[in-house]
Amino acid sequence: MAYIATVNGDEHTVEVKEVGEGLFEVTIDGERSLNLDVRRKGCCSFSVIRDGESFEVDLDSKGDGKYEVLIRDEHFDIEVIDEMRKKMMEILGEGAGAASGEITTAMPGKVVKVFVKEGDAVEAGEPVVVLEAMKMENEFKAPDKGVVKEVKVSEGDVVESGAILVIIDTESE
Amino acid sequence: MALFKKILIANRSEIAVRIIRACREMGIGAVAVYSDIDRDSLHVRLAQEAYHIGPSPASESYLNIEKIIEVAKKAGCQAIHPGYGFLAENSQFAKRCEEEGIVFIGPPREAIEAMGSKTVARQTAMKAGAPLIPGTLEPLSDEEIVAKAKEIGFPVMLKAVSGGGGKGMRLVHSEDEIESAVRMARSEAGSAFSDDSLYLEKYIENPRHVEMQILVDRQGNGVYLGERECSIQRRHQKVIEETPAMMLTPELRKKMGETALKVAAAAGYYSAGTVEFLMDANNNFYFLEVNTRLQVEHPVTEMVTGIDIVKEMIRIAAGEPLSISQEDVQPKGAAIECRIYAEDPYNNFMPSPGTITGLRLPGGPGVRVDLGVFEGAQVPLEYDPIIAKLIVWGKDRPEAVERARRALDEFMVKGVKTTLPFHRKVMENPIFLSGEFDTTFIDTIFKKLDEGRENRYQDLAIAVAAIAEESSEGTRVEKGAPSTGECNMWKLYTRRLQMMRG
Repeated sequence: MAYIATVNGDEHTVEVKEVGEGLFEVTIDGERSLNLDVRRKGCCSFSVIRDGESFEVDLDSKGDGKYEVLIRDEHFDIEVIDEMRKKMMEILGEGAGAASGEITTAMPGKVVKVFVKEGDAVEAGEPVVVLEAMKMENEFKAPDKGVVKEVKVSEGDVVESGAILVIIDTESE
Repeated sequence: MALFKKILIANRSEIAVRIIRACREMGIGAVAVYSDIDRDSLHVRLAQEAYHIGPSPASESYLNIEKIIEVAKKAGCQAIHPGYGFLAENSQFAKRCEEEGIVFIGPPREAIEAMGSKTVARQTAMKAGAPLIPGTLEPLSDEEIVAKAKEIGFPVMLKAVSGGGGKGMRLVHSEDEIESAVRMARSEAGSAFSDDSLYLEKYIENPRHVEMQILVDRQGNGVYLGERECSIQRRHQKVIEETPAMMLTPELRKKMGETALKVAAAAGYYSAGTVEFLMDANNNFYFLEVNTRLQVEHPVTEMVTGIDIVKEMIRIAAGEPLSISQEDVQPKGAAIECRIYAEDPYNNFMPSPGTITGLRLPGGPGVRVDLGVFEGAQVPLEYDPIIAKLIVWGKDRPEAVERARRALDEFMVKGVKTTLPFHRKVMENPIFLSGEFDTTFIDTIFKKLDEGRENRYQDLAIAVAAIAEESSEGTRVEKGAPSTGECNMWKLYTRRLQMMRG
């Protein structure tokens, strides 16, 4: 099948052909071809042999065609979409991204301090929330000047990664 | 005095396991304690006895002095080893042990108290004749901090009087940074040490962090076991330690070792301990602080000296005189430790708690792994994110580095993100290999070099990701429709698109 892989903002076409059990012929950008023997046994990683060279490829699927790949000391975030789906999505157009002014956390943790309440005016860079995880405190700051629209957490709350902490109405809106 | 029959280990994870190992090898019963979430932890399984001490937050379990004392008495323990962190440097805990007739395996509480206050430690070191970093000898108010910082001259280090482990510490470059730095440092210090007082030191440019391991018995005999170079730090926290320090001459080592023993004597210290120094670019060393506990990085010293520091600590606590003299300490070869944290090195080292779903340990000659987890174990959010330490020995530094490199390649952890790939990159870094680095290395030069690196395996990564996507597509198509064909594929796309668009 044909896919579009996006790495570091660059798109590459990828053609995958299964030629035997665990044997793949992969062509990237129509010019670079890789013959791979791929096995997944046990807990930890793929074993990949390419022209006699043996690799362990540590791959995590994050869903929706998003992969995190680690080979030796190199790390890649790769999004793989099959070509036809990509085309259809382009025709239909994708929804807008997250609203600006949402302050979210990329890690789970415990809210130890909330500096603002609804209706407060904040300056860019002003601290709004302090989150503690594994004993380190991390300060979250207002990205832009604006007014606090909603405070989603209170002190003592335990939040998951991706949680919205505070929503700020920025001037531009 | 006979050795103890039973020791309670007031800690968790890899360090609890390390102490349990020493106990087992000495024929001493090891008693573990655990919080709610740690019922399934490794130390509970490896100890001969284990007792629940409370809910998951450390303040209600591993920091609960009275509960731990109660368990120690009930279980018939003659001594308690605190490990590092938690109650290890809590003089109140040492005092309560004393009052209950339980031996605290560590220094006398007066020495913990004196060295626990970084300002008192500075005063003690000064009396012992150790060179000091310019700064204050007393805690300061917010106003005094601003005034003193201007007097000392920026950049300055803002430090917690009761600090340790890089917490409650901020480097301040200029006056406009100081207000926020003081607020963060006080808050962090307050929650970590229940004491938010701060003091100031002049910031030494491009410092190296070198520390001296000592052993002192209750009779006052002391030996130094050599230095550890701990300059590879991230956010003021050590991540890689090694011995010997490349730039330390035998004369300098002797001088540093003897200074360390003098500071210990001035503080009335016994047990294992570490005297930390900063070295400037001209190899001048300055007293930094005394860690009145077993250090995370103690294994590198054990690897080159063959001396089991935990066992020595236990013997000293039991009142035995040191069995070794300074001449018996003959370090051999080189050792390196990599701290494996459950943190995501590709996402600003964010903590990555979760379940360990896969684990493969390195092995072979010269490799030691001090491990706190197993496959299926939880890495909880509540505690320090260290899950393992990899320690390697080599006949010299190049061999130790090669060994670290291959052991890191063997080491695999799945389910949580770890600092393993970060260590792999450091072991390839030319500046690390040259030994010409200081404590700013990771946050500056390494970061820059790392960002400019060429990726050799990008095509391979893309290919494997596409193969993985193809196998998952295959499964979905099969599940979604009994027969394959272009028609079904199109149906699937439409359905997926509908799902995506909600």
